[in-house]
Amino acid sequence: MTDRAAAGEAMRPPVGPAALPRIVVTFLADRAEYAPGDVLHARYRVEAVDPTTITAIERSVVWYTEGKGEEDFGVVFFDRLVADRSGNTADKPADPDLNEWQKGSFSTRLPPSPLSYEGLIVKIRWCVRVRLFFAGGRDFVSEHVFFVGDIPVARPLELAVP
Amino acid sequence: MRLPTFFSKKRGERRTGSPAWGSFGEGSFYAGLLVAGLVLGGLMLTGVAVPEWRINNHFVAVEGRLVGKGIAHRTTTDLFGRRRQSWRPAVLLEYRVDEVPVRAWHTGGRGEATTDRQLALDLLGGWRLGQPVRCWYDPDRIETVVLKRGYNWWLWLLTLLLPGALVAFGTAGLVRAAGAWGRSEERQAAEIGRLLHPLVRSAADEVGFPTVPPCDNLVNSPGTIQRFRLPTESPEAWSLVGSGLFAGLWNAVVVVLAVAAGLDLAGGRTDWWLFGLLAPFALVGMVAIGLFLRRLLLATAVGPTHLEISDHPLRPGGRYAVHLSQGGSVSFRRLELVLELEEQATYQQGTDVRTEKQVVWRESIRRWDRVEPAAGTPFEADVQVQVPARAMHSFRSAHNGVGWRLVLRGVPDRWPAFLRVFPLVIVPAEAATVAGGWARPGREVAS
Amino acid sequence: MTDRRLCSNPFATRYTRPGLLSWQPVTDAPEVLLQRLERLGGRGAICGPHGSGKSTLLRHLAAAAAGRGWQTRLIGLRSKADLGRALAAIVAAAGRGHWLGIDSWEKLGPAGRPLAWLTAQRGGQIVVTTHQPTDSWPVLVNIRPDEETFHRLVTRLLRQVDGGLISAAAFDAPQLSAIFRRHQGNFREAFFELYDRFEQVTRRPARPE
Repeated sequence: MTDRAAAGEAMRPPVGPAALPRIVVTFLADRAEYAPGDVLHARYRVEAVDPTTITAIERSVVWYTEGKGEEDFGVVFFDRLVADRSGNTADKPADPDLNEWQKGSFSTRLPPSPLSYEGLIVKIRWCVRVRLFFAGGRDFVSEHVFFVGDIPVARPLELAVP
Repeated sequence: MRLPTFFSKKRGERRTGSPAWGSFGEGSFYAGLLVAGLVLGGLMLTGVAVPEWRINNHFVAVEGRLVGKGIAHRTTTDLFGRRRQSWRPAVLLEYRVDEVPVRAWHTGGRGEATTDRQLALDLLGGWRLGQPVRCWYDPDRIETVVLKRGYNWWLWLLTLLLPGALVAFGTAGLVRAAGAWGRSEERQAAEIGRLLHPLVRSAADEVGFPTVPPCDNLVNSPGTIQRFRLPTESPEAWSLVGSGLFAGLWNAVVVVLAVAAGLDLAGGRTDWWLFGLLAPFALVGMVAIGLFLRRLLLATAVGPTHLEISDHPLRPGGRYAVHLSQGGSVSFRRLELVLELEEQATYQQGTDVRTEKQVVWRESIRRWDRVEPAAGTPFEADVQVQVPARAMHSFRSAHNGVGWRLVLRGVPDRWPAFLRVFPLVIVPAEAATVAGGWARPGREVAS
Repeated sequence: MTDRRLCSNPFATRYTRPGLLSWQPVTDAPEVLLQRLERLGGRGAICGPHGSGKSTLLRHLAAAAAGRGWQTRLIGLRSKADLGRALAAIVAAAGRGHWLGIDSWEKLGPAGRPLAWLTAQRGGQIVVTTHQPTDSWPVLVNIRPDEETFHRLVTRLLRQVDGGLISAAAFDAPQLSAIFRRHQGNFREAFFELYDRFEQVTRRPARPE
């Protein structure tokens, strides 16, 4: 079985967690709460993936809504690294850290809005997304939530459930 | 397909998929439409529009003479193989070009073509041999001559409309298919954001607050006491307009039915179906008029509500002066001014579109009991509105919203209660007050 | 520190919209339905009332078709203005090896008839969703939502949330049955009510001012 066939096996509908890639994201100083205007630093590590199957990696910082409405989202940071034939990814092929494609970091200054909000029918969340693209058109995305601002959790005006 | 795992603050959520992005085939389809539009437009321009323009602008006028008559015959075959003959009247004209005599046939236009040979012959009867005629010839091909000029505007419209629609539709589809092909949602959003950001800016964006709705409409009306007069978003205004429209339209139908029934009666006929329909229609019409008049009386009796505020947009922790003016001729059992936070979520799936709203925070600013305005003068009051220190800012996205508003709830004597809603925009607190740590909480949002 | 408990509502649209809920055996398995589709000449309609899971099943069929190596495409229609999109997708997906799913076919109204005729002239496979059977489309499957499936889905969704936050009493079987009956099998509306119930159970009410 070639490496590519092994990768193909990994990309069929998963039979268990081991079949999926793993992306570990950590925030600088283990910090997940930020004020608007702060600089977000994030590191990520990709595991359990055949590097030759990767065609690109996208890193983004997004806000999205969750609740009873359609999901909306906005992108405040976006970055795409394209793999060369060896499976190394970089936006500068001459970068000496090519061999470290499985790890990466990025930072961005957070905007003044929107703030994280735990509403009743509308919630606003912030997250870091790392998306892997594979040969064959499939992709895999990992989301890691962090908080912006200090808005308290909304409460219902009255308790309806007995 | 596994359900997503719910997460704590640090643990990531994972999704995997093979999204059906725009296909090459779809892009080819739109490209085909674009090409078809360009080709069709080119053909119509060169075959119809351009020749007509040349006739009106390029052909040379000359006085000629009719020296012969005849009919032109044409046989065509349709899609089903049936042969069809058509006839058109034709005249032979003689005219001079640079003192040289020229003879040329002119055949009637499409509008004169007929499948009836005799009719074509009859049309020739209007021409007399030797008759002087004014005609126009093509200086580039002097044997081409016409008897009429002018524009067929509908032909020009067709030349522009049909190919134009194909080009527009094909271009739009091609751009959309190309834009979505092979791109993740984050990448599309990032590219669209970079493209549109210089074009779409609101007052809030100008001071750097993305997703905060613009408040341009809220600050374009100066107040007389305070700095700004707030616009109202009252549901009763719409119900007044709606009930008026309904009453008007419905009773127009009733009038038509009544006139028809009356004419029948006057003619000695009795249409029982018509009479049967008229009775319930008239009843509904009277009820509709009654409801409309009641709403109108309520609107005029209660009078307008004006709210003016000392500044806008608002900020968390800020304190603002508000001036209330409530007109009308009635007295009120109760008036209450309330500050509310409302969430709004719209969901569309298949044939279902639902918008839900929920008030998640409410604070009473001031309440007045037994208000009896003096005749001819509105009830006026000045209050202070304190925005909570950790208030969520106003937010609006395509399907979701978080919005603040001042609401006046009124219960008039002998009239139904009413609501007057005044939207507000609250921007986030200044970055300097929270950067590097948490702001000391002032007045807390109720929790 | 602020009250920062991050708790996702398992009934948020993010987790319950079509395609995200696992396939449930209220119909034959997607593979069996694809075989039936071939016997119907490659054209079929998934019929069912509002919120019965038509869109979800359509997406599972698309996944099954993709698993067979077919080139799949899914589009959703919202109004007659989407006639062009539907036509483009039908033309683009013509031919063997193509599978096209169109959600909410009846949005096209009478204009959908010539389009339906066109699909019969092309190769490839196409599945649409409709509320009622029509004479333009052979019925691939008729979905009738059942209470057992509803209970199963809710239980799975709730299981994802940390224990201790959810009151078992708020989501016991009799209450779920009452919700199912109240919404007459419309899963979507039932999920919206469960969403509200979850929020009420996991939050304290506002203190009166």
